[in-house]
Amino acid sequence: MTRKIKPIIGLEIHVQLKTKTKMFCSCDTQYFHSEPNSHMCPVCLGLPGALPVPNKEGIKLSVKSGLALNCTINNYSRWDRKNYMYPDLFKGYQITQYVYPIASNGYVDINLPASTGNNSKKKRIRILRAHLEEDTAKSIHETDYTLIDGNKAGVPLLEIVSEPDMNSSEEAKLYAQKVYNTLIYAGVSDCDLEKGQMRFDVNVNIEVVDEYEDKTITRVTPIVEMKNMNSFADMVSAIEFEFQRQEKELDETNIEKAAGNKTTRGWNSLKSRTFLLRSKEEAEDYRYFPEPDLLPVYIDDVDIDKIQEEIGDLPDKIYDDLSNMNFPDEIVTMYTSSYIYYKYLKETLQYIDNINVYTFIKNELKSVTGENPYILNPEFCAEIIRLLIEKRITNLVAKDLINLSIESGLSPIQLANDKKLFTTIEGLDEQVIEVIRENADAVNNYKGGKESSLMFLVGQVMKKAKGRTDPVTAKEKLLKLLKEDLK
Amino acid sequence: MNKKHIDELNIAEENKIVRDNINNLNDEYNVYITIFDDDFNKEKIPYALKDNISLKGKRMTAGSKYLKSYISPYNATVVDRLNDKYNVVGKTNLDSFAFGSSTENSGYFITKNPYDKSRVAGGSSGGSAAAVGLNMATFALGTDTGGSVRLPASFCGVVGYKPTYGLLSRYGLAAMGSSLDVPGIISRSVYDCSYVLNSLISKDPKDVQTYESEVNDFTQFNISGKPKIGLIKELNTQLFTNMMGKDVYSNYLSSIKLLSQDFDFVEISFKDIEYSLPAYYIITPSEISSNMARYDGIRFGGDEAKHNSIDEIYYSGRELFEDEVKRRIFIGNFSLSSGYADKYYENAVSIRNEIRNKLSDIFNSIDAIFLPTSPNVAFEIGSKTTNPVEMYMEDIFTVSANIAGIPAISIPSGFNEKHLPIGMQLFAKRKDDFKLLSFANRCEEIFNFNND
Repeated sequence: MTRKIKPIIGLEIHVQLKTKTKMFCSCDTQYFHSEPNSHMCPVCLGLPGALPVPNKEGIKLSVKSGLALNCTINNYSRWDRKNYMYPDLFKGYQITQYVYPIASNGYVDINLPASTGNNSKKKRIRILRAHLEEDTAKSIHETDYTLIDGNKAGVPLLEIVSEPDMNSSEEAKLYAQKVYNTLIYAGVSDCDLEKGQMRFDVNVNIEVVDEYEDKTITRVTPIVEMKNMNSFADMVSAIEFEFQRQEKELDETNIEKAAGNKTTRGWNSLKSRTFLLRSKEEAEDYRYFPEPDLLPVYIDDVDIDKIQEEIGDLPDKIYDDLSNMNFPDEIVTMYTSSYIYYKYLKETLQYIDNINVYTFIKNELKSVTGENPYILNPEFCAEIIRLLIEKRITNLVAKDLINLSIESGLSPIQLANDKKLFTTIEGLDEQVIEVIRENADAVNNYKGGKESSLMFLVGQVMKKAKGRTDPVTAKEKLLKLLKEDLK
Repeated sequence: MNKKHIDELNIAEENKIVRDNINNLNDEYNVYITIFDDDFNKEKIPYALKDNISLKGKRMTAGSKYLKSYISPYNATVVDRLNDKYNVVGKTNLDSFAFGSSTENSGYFITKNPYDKSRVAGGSSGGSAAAVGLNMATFALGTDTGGSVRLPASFCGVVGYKPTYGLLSRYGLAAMGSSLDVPGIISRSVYDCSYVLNSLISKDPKDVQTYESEVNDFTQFNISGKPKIGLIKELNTQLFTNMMGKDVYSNYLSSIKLLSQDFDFVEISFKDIEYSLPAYYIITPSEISSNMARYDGIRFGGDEAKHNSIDEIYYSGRELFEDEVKRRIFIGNFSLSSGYADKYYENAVSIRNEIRNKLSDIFNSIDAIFLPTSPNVAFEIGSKTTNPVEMYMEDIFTVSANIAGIPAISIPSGFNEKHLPIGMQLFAKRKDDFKLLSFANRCEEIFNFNND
């Protein structure tokens, strides 16, 4: 018997949209460092008589998200109530879009990594729908009681439902990362996983094909849903764990996928295993019905087009553009995976439209600025690059200027003037002579034919010149004086 | 009862009368759940607020023991809009969460009929109607989901007005059937009602279902020509004549005769009125089941005891729900549940759409519909409590206005032989509230009802 296993994975991704206020009331959404239960009002607290009022920005950001994910935006969408009781759901129902979502039928393309000898290839993951809803409050479970923090109750949440198109944990990760990047670049969410701004519900099962000499038996395991995962790594581990667990369970029980046997499992990251949360989840009855407190959402094509125009460059387009410019992979990867650096790049290019900007930011700036390039004003960054291109400073000085400008907030030109950092041949003769004098051994070695000693001496000159000379000029001068000395 | 219009009253004097009546009569008639003794304001007209409408800083029980200690932290929009001229003197009794037609479902007490203490005041806004009937307020606000303003108004011999859905804001009204709920006005006269209405209109950003009124002053009554009033043919069939008291039916017929001078009565067919009640008693409980889910015993309601599980918290709190509340939650959850929603909820919604369409057709050829408010006058306390369906039948003439979202008003049209008041209703087309009130004012003049 030979066995083939085909994993089947679908993702529901929940994303908090970055509106100023909650989806149905005017409470501030910037709750991250706030006192628990300080961002609340009668509406998000579900007090008797309070009514929801939809946040237009929330609707706009979901349209933007839908467009960024290549979805059709529906001119008509409608609010429904999803009824279930849980302490973190204050009204006892969640306002969502069950029957008529705001966006449907989209896709993203993922780049499957190159297997040996092959180029990477694209795979399309279809998106069934994306609908808008409200986030719930947060439950904090202690040993013998549970605390509730309502600050996040009512924050707009977009649920993006994929088709079960992924067939490995790697594909699931690439899909999740693609959606993550796309939404960040579209400006709809910061997708901060640690802050819970993006969460994944993963549906996994496997198709097990056993080939015997005389027959082939195909079995599909029951679907398992793993809720509220908030890291790509955990998601991959949980999926991998499930493949093995489900195969083992299938061999032991022979229970195949059937209506009503979907289960819900959680991920214990300490024990690296999934555990059963709820069985027969489909028996839960949400008693959906149209939300009578709200009107349907109508968006016309003109508005959709307007919103489309507001969407900036998305990773796919940037990838194509940079690849066409023949940038190496590291550069392409950086600007398609770090929105803040891409944004910084675009702003810097406004001041100096030069191909060196792309490499300078990656090679010189990033090591200093780390996560946030904006600690250096993009205009100053452009100034440094211009000085470099004009050969008025050396790379070493450029690095110094980055640090000096960040520390002082002053313009690099001013700093270079004040601190005399411009490249100059003034005093170079003296410096070279001093180096020759001070490094007799190296000079002798060079003269004895050891070429590498020359580079050492160049370095010593550079050091003495404090970056104010460039290595080419230094080398020329050194060679000239050494030659004279030889005579 | 003071025959002066609301804008002609000596406010200080009116306050004194109202306060004396509250002091003297409340224990006898069980009108108010909460009275604001210290809050009398001699410069403002005193009014009564049904206790399912939020008043900032004050307890709101919604007539249920469940909310016996809930203090609302905010004002309903209708309260905010009345604040300049009017002052709330107390919160009135109602059927628990407004589920009922007699206040017999109240978690506190049963409001007694101003004309006969052995009878009900009607419901669910029974306290508000009795407050006006007993001069314990100049006027009152109630809520009308299936007739809760009009029915008690007719039982108590006062005017009860249910506006078009969306004319007045629901913000701050403890929700019952959200797609049908409206605030309503209970008053001594149609003029008073229109006068108060002037302060309440204009679109509320807090309730997206509200719209901007085209009329600013509803007291400038205006009738051109001889309006066409529809009489529902089916009311004369056995189904309805059997249901109706002889007193109500004969008052209906004599009222038509009285009004014929000014109005042109025509017969219309509105067979669907028969289905309005079953549709109502599916849609409303469905919405109720969802609206009641917030009462989970965590933020309000419930007890302070330590519980071992979340289910225990839910159960211990919800035991305080009155029987009718539990009944409607059960019916609603069932009607919406998978496998049954098609048969019940979806079906009721399509009946609702049919009724809306039918009424909108009818109003193409007529200006208003005339019909009794209730099949019977105020009934004896306890006479219908054992049979909820019989109680539901009291709403047969009122619910179709809620189902269609159209404006309706009940005006006192006379007494039966036991001197119990009878009320007649007018329905008009959606957003035709001004026409409705103009007609009602004319009817009131003709009936010349003496409510002393």
